Amino acid sequence: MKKLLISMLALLAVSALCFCGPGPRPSELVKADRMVLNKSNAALAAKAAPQMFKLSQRYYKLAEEAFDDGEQDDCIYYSTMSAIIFSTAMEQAKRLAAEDRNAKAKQRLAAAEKVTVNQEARRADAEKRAGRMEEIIALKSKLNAEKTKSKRDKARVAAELKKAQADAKAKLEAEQKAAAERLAAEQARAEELKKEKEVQEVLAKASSKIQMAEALDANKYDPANLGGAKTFVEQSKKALGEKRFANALDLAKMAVTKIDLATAKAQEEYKKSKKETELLQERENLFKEANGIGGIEVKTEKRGVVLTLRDMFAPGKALVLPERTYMLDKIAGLAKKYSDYPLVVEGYTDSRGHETSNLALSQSRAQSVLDYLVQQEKLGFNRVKASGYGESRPVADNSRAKGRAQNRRVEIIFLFR
Amino acid sequence: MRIRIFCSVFLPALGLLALLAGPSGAADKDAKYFQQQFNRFSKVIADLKEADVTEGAASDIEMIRTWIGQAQAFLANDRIDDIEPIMKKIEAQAQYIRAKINRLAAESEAEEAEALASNAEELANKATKAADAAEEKMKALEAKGL
Repeated sequence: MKKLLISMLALLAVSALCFCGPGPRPSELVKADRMVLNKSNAALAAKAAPQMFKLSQRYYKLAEEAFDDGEQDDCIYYSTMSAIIFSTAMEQAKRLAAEDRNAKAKQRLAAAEKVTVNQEARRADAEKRAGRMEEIIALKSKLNAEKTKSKRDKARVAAELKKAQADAKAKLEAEQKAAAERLAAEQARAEELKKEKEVQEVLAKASSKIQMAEALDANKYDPANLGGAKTFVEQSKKALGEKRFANALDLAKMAVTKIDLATAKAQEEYKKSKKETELLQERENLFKEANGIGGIEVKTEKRGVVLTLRDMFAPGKALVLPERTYMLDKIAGLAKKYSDYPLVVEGYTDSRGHETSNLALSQSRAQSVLDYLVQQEKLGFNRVKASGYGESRPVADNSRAKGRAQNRRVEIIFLFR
Repeated sequence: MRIRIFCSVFLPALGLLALLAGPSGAADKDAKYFQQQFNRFSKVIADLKEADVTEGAASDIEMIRTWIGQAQAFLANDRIDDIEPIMKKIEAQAQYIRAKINRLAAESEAEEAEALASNAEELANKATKAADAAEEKMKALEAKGL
């Protein structure tokens, strides 16, 4: 139907072109031509506004007829009306198309919104699940972290334990070292004290000896050594004050050596003096004891203690009277007691008689006494000697009886060594 | 909305009836009638101008004003018969302008709707991509976590 209508319109247009006469088609009609003869626009207009399209077609037809009839004004009028109405139909068609676009756009919008909603829901669901998974992973991570931390803690505790053990060991070693050092220091101190004590002892010994020397008789001591000892003592004390124990000890020992050397001389002198004293005492004792025997004369001479015995023999005889032997017994006891003294027995006579016979008599009498003494106490022959001097060496006047009696004698001499 | 229905449905129907009615007898109509018509057209012009917010039909509206002036000139010269066709052109032009305004509005709405749809589709695409990404992430996490 539409195609037929369009074909008719086209035929009308062609007929109008062929029979319209020579005049030009007015612009309004040309405009209407362009509109109406456009097939696609005509189809759109017919579909969107069919009544208007038909009216437009009717006006176009009238315009063609007017143009053919040479009615210019009517042609223009109808062309204008046709164009306006066709345009109105086209506007309707465009409006419908726009509304269709609008509807489609709204459908798209709705569909898109639906998609959006669905996708949002899907995203929310996925995010929710992802969130859960993240929580699970976080928990796993936390668990792993806890495990790692536990391992780290374990390692840290082990490290701390190891460190503590090392520290304890180091501390123990330090303490042991400190103790060893303290012990060494104490030992050193003890050694020092020992050395100091030793020095002090040696010094005390030297000082004591020096003091003793000075208190006794310094003159008997060797002055050089005594002075040296004092000097060494002072030097030793100084060294001791400066803790130079070895030096102090050496100096003290040297002081001791010096004082010992000084003392040695004094001691020698002392011993010598003592021996003499003892010898004198012994001699004195010998004298006293001899004197205590009674009946004899005792005297000390340069050569020794001389015991003079008288009236020991009968006249002209050399045998000791028995009543007088007790004295010899006592003298024999002395001889035994003082065995260091060589014993000399000397016989003397008075001047009466012949000198030779007196000498012989004196010898016999000395020997007789000696024999008795030897016999009594078994005295050694090497320490005894008997000599007779006759009438020589008188001690009194032989002219008088008392003097002669004094000269008749036997002298037993304990010789000094 | 009411204006749109009025413009798109009621007025074209009236206009069409008027157009189909054909030229009535001009002799039956006096100057007062035409003046009333002119006034009515002036009001129509005002309504159209108000409706033509985009001013897409400004020149078309000016055409009506020109035609009214032409008709008034005919009326002043007692060319009564020449007035009727002009009034029909004005009626048709007014109807065309309304259709054009409606079309422009519809196109504007369509463009807005299409823009909204495009925007919504873009959002949908983004939402789809976000959902895909979330699912990918979820799958990756599941693979990692499980």
